[in-house]
Amino acid sequence: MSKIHFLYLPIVIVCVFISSCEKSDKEIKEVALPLFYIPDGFPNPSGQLQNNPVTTAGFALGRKLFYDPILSKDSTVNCSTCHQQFGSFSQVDHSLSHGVNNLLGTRNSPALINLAWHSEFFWDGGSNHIEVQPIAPITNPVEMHETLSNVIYKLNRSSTYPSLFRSAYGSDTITSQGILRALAQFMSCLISANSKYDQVRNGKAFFTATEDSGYTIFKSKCTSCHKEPLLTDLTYRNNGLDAHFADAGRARITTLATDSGKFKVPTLRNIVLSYPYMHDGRLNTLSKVIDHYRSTIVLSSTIDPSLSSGNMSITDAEKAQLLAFLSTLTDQTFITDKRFSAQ
Amino acid sequence: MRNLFPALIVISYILIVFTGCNKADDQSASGTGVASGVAKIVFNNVVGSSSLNSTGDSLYTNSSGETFSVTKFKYYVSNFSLIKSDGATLTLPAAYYLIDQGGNTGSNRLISNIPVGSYKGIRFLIGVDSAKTVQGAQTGDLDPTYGMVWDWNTGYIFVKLEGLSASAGTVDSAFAYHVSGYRISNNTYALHWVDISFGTQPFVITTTGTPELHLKADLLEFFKNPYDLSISDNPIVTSSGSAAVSISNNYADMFMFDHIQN
Ligand code: HEC
Ligand code: HEC
Repeated sequence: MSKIHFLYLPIVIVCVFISSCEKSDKEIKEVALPLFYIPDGFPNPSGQLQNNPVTTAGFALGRKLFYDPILSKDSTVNCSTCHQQFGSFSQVDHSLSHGVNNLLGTRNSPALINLAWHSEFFWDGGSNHIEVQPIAPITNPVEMHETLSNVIYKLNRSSTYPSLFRSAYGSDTITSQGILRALAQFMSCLISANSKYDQVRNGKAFFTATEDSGYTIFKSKCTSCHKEPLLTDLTYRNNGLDAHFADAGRARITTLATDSGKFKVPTLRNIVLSYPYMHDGRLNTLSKVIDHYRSTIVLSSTIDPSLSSGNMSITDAEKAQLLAFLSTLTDQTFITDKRFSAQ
Repeated sequence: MRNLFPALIVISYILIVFTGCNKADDQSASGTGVASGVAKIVFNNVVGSSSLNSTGDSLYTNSSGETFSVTKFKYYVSNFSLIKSDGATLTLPAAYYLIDQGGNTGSNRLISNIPVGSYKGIRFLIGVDSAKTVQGAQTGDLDPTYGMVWDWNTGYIFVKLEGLSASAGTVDSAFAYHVSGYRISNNTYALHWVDISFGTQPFVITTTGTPELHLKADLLEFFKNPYDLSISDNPIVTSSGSAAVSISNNYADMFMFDHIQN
């Protein structure tokens, strides 16, 4: 049984009820979990759904918006252009994300996983709420390059949206808040907690000897930042990529020199799927990521104290074990869950 | 952060409820059984002694001797309290007003449910407090469609001034100041409380009339005291940080009492 925070109990009950109304038997099995829930062993979520409880209609509206290029100026780009389900909602194989007019963004699209546990968004944490976060891609000239007012205008003219807003919020009136909250609901339900790693944690599977050795190394070298079970501690840190920072990272938000080159520790869930890696997508394989930690850590004034002694000692055999462990973080249920796909 | 969040919500809540309650004998305006009335608060933008024309057609001179015209001047004012004649503070229900003279949201607001009585001053915040800023998508004056939000570094633009000046040195001679900064722990904090006394003239709330409180905002203060803002040195300030904080220190005293119509 999942641990359920009291705040979410009504939502969970609603969701359980709704999912039990699904039609085919097969779906019942696949959709056994409610849309929003707290997986076993997870901490409490950030609380940003407090004024925006997940409902089936709100989630469905959010999903429709997420996959609809109507949010972009020239109707060519939707959220999934850069956040693809098969890549765990990251943009696979693009180091810098592409938006309208093929303009290149300056950062790599992160995977969207377990965002209900985050209270700040973007590599630098500049966005402070899951509801306001989508304003950035919608209005950014290198992403969707649209205005919220024009999105509202277009949605109002569509034949489907007014009734979807009525189902979600009880009124046909399309507001920016309605749009943003629906997207927040959809994204908050992108919960990944059924990887082999999770099954092992929950006593439902066993690691191979190699994976297990990898896990031991991981716990000794990586979890101080990639904290279990979210595999991020959600803080901002410099993991030694550079000494001079083309992207100031967290300092862009705080303007503090002591934050230069610090980025939000990314989750490692589904990490095999969400290549390339790092805020600018500079490393295209996990092998190169491990090589970074064992041979190219650059010391600078903001290097994380835990890395201040430089490269980690990781042998080739240990590297193979670590890679085997990282593969257990892939959650097939998540990337194939039809509820998260375009309908 | 994650573990702190519930605590932060509680703290935010306490902050919302008690903002402006640094006087011991604070009372809330939402008390029941108290006779109450309505008042109007009006903001008039001025440049020294003349009223501000924000359609770009008038030329003004700032304290650095630079000539400029204004195409946009909008600001948020929020978290109002009234000061009673005995000095007690009455916190009004939380409200956020986007003052945009000549624009969508206009320059005046009606405030209802004010307990009847005589008031001698007003206190409010220029901008939107941090508690509200971390609460997600908002409606009303805080609707992001008004273009008064930052998306890459969340926050409401507290004060937005845009215009043209030959001194700007930019391609189209445009200058733009979008001032924000709510994160208390950073060196970007640009929120300011304003306390305005009505002098000898009491502001009297009754159950029948709609008295008007007229305040003015002098744009010249945006450019001076304590920081000499020169358009040529700093034509564009659209992110938080020291320049924004300096400008906010300037405009912190731009609001003044104008007159009361009881
Ligand atoms: C052109 C590509 C592109 C499009 C389109 C796009 N994004 Fe993103 N997304 C990115 C990039 C790049 C980042 C990282 C930006 C940064 O850190 O500054 C990002 C970050 C995010 C994050 C923050 C994740 C985290 O871990 O902090 C969320 C949430 C998100 N996007 C949701 C959306 C939604 C919702 C939409 C559609 C409204 C959308 N994105 C459209 C590229 C895109
Ligand atoms: C000091 C904290 C810290 C430690 C220890 C650490 N990491 Fe990281 N890791 C980070 C940060 C911060 C980033 C993002 C850096 C950036 O993009 O600038 C990151 C990025 C990554 C990425 C890329 C993720 C993505 O989505 O792009 C992988 C993979 C990774 N780390 C694996 C590991 C492994 C494996 C270990 C242990 C051998 C480890 N990390 C140890 C902080 C840390």
